[in-house]
Amino acid sequence: MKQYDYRFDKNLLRSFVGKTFNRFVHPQFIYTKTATMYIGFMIDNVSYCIENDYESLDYFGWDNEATVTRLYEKPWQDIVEMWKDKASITEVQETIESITVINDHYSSFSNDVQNYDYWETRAIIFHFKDHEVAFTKSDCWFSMEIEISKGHDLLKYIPDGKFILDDFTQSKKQTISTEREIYTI
Amino acid sequence: MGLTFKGGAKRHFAITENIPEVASSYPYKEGYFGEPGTSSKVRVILSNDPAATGKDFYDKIAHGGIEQAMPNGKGFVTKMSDGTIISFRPTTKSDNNPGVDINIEKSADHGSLKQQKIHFEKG
Repeated sequence: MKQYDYRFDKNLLRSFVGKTFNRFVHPQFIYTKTATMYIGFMIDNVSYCIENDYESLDYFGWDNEATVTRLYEKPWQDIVEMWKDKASITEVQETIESITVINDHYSSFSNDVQNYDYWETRAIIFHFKDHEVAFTKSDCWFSMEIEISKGHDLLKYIPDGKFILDDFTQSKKQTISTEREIYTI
Repeated sequence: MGLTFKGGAKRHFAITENIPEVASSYPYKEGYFGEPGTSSKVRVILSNDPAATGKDFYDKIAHGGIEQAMPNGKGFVTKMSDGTIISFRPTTKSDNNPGVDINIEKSADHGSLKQQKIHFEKG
């Protein structure tokens, strides 16, 4: 069985709570409120990047690559310079009261035997005193888009993670089960 | 302000407007281009020159879209007016051949077109 776990580090996310979310950055929106491949944000003056890029892996036997989302520290200037003069920076300067994490889990079976087990983080929602900011990975397994949203009750706008089911409907050899894990730190 | 559309188009195109021309140049059946690869959704188009074929296919299917370079410089992403997003990479992680990925997740009207990844290979 092939096992992949691309969930964001829970300890890293837990370390954010109570700190100040300074700002986030993405390329200027063109037609959609999404960024291709990267967004950045700064917490207590330490900057992080969410990257959504293709990686080599055996994706349910369909292809040898898929887009994988990762969260890691990255110098702010390196993030901003990716978009040259088209970076859009939003100041927040609010205390992170809590973070909601949405993870999706996919298990596929062939002849009733599990052959793949795949976890990924679909979205994280930062909760502030009077609003939220969310960063969401596209529900398409080969999309590099990261959706940026700001407002209230953003959890209800997160895609349900079931778009992948459509890719299994034509397969007579494989079935899939999906489950979603939602927790708030 | 100042938006330009791929291929010199005068306006923003929907993906459905490009399907007829692409389908006249490449195999198209039941919403999929090319032949099935390792799954029905991962397609293969064979040619003597995969690099040129992949570029030609992308230029046709993404005509009239809003094109941006990927931040890592390894390809392009084009957004169509219906919400379809098309990516083109001269080399993929799967192999060293080009790839065009068609994402209809947010499309309001993609016609008969299905979501698919297309590899361009020699053959």
